[in-house]
Amino acid sequence: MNLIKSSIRVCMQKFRLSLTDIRVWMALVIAAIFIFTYEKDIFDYAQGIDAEVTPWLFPFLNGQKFIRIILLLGPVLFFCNAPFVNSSYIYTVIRAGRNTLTIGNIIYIILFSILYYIFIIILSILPFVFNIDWSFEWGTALGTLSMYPSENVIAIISGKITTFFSPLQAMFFTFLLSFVCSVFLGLLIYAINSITKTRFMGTVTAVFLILCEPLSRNFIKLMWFSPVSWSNIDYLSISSIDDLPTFEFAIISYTTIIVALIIIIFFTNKHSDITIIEEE
Amino acid sequence: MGNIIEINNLGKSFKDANILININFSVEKGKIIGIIGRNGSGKTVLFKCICGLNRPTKGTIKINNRELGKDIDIPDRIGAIIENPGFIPNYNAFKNLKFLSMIKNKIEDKQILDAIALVGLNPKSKKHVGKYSLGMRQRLGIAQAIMEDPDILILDEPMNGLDNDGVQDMRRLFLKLKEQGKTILLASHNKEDIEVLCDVVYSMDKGILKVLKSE
Repeated sequence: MNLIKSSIRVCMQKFRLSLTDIRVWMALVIAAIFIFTYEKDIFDYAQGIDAEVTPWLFPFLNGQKFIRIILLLGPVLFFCNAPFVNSSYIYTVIRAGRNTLTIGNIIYIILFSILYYIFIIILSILPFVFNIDWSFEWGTALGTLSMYPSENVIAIISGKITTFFSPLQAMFFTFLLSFVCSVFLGLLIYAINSITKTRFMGTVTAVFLILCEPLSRNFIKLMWFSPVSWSNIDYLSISSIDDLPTFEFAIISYTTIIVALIIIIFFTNKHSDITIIEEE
Repeated sequence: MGNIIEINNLGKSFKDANILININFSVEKGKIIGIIGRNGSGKTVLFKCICGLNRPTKGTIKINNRELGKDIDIPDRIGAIIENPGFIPNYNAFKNLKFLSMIKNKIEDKQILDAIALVGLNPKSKKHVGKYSLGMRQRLGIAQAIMEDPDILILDEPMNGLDNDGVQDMRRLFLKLKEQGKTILLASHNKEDIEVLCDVVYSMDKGILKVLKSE
């Protein structure tokens, strides 16, 4: 019980530091700008056809390659310095202990990922909150765009999602898979930085996976090996006809990889020397 | 009084370099132990091993009969300054120490303020630590080490950057802490600090420890 309480305190300490971290605010502002730009066309289109837009835009943020990369780079920016060594790190380690610190860092990655995607959902609704049709259906605008894309709208509204998922289902599964993908990226950076004792190799690896993900769209078999692809419900199999990874495969694979990364992180941090970072 | 720290056949290597070679010594509770040596002699690496920050390549370190790396990861009730104290630059002194104290959550604000005052800093100053001189940061580092009332203090070059008055103040403080039953390990390249304060003195040269003065 003490271990959990201390780990949560370590996690809260990291959150306090995040509030003054310019990278965090930059990532959130950039996400806000791109989401607003991406969705504005949808709202203009809806006005043109005299319809309102429902609030279920979040699942479609993954549809356009560039927006998807921007949103995935958010977690990379937040977690790029894992294991979050700062100038007073040594004093934190002496007080917390290695295991508590590691657990606290992992809890931080998980909680931050949840908050990030809640923020993205709110961002997807907030700029247009006074022009939204608060219904539990996809609505006329999204429904029409999913069947008949408009060249004036850069957003890609997937017909697969509107056909096979209800809005709440799509929101839930997209949130779950996006959050898990963010945790995966955070832990990947943490594990690789810990093993290589660098502050950049983890980030390079995560960015490589994100930038290679669009390639997997052209080679379906590659999607089975691209963890970043699994976070987009549009790339998961709905029927047994296609060759896409299933939802169950995505969840089991994410869980397995995350558990493996956590084991690596614990093992590496337990046995390695702790290096003090000089202040810049 | 028993031995609070016992080190047996301690060795530490980085790649091909032997930094610590067969270190053997014990520290009796309530004493001040001094280690004198040039820069690069291995004092800091030894202290990092004792604090649990570095894993020994061979040998054992026991703190209160509990082996580091086996029974415990980091010693309990320890306060330390290792190398140059690092703090969050855009926080003031109190906020920095408050931030650290929240991990164990065992002390009140008053104890933090008292520790800051004890080292000669203004506890109510709003000045950001980023604007502190080396001497001020060193004092804050000492405050950080003592604020939670640890049993063992590991102080690596604690007088670094202090003026003469500061050195005298810290000597008085360390002797007072010794009277309270604290055990202090002190590293310095300044002979006078060691001679004035320490019950037992070792010299460290190229990773080898030798007794210079025993009780």
